[in-house]
Amino acid sequence: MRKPGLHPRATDRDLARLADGTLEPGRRELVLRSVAGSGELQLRMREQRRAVDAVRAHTGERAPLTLRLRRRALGSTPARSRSGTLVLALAGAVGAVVWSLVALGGGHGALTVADTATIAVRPAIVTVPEPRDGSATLPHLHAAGLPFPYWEDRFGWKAVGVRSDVVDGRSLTTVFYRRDGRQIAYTIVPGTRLRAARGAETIARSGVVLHASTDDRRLIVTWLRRGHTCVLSGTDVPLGALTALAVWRSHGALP
Amino acid sequence: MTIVADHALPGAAGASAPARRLDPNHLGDHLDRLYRAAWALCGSREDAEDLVQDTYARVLQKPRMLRSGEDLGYLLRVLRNTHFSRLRAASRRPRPDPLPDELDRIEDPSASAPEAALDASELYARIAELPDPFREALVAIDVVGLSYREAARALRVREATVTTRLYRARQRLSRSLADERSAPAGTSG
Repeated sequence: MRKPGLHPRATDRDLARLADGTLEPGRRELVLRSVAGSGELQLRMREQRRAVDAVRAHTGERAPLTLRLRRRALGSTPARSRSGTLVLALAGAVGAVVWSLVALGGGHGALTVADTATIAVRPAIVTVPEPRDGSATLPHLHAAGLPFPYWEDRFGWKAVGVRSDVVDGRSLTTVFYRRDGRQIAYTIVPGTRLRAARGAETIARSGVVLHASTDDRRLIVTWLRRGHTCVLSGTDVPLGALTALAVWRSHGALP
Repeated sequence: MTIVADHALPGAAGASAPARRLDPNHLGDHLDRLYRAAWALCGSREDAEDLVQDTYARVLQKPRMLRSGEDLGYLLRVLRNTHFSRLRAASRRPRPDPLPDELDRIEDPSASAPEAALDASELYARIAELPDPFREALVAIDVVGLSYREAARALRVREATVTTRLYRARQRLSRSLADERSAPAGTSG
C-alpha cells in the first residue's frame, strides 16, 4: 500500500526489504533510485537500517546455562504425562544422583546443613507441574510423606525444577523456586534431624523454630516438619523472605 | 497416543509438503533463537527463560505433526501463544507481596556485573514495548531470522501484512533507540 506523500516508486514494504537485503534485484534498483532522489526516503531508510543493525548486533546472545539445563531436564521424549508421581520419575526415568559426603564437600561424618545446602547450586533434573488453582502444594511431589509448597500465587516464587540426590543413604529431594531472577532451593531431608549449623541463629516465628546460618554467602534456614529437616537456602534473598516462606502453612493446608 | 496435526497453517508454502513428526531431539537446536525471541517478547531475561521452558514443555506434551517442515516457525507460534497464555494467567493471579527489604541481603557470588548484557537488555526491553502486531513481526523476522513467508505462516497473516508491520516496528524501534540516546528528534509515526 502506498503512503500519501511517499515517493510513488517506493513503498514501506520496499524499504523494509531493502534494509535487510531481501528486496528482489529488479525492484531493488528502482527503489534505490527513488531513495537517492528523496531526502524523506533516505531518512526512512536510515530508520530501518538502524533498527536492523541494532537487532543484528545481538544475534550472538545465547540462552543461559540455566535454561539449557532446564531444557535438557525436560528431555526429548514426548507425551510425558503430567500425572503419576514425579518422585517415581526422579527415581526411575531420570535416576537419583548418588553423592558421598566427600563428593559434596562435606568431609567425613554425619550429613550437615551445609552439605545439604550445596545441593542448591546443582541443576534441576525434572520440571515441576503446575498445581490446580487454589492448591497450596505442588502436585505429585512428596518427600518423606511431605508435600512441597506452591508459593507462586502467594509469594511470587515459581517452582522451576526438582532434583533428587542420595547422600550417604538418605534420599534428598530439592525443589528450586525462582523469583525476580533469584533462585532458592528447598530440600527435605528425611530421617534423623540434622544438627543446626555451628553459629546458627535461632528464630521463633509463627510457632515455628528456625535456625538461620550462612555458608559461602548462601543464607540457609532450617526447621522441622513432622520430624524431618527442611533446608531452605538462597543468595541475595532477605532472611525475612526465607522465614516467611518457611513458616507458611496456608491455614493448615500445608503440613 | 494423541497425534496433534498442524492442519490450519495458511499460505501455499509447505501446504503440499508431506506431514512429518517434529523431531524432539532437534528442538534444542533452536534454543538460542527462541530465547532471544522470548526475551524480546517479555522484555526480561528471567521471564524469557521461563517462557522458553514452558514452550518446550508444551511442545513435548504430545507428538507434533507438521505439514510445513518449518520447525522454527512452529516453535515461534507456540512461544507466542504460550506468552499470551502466561499473560492472561498472570492477570488473574493476585499480585504477590514485594520482597521484604529488611534484614540482611547476601551477595550472590555467581552474579557477574551486568554491563555486558546491558545493551541487549535495553534493546529487548524496547522491542517488548512495541505494540503486539509490530513486535511479533520484528521478532519473527529480525530476531528469530524467519523469512517473510515463514513469518507470515507463523503469525497467520499475509506476507504483505507482516512486511508492513515489520516496517512500522523498525521505525518505532529506531525512534525509541534514538530517544534513548537523548536525541530530541523523533516523532511517532
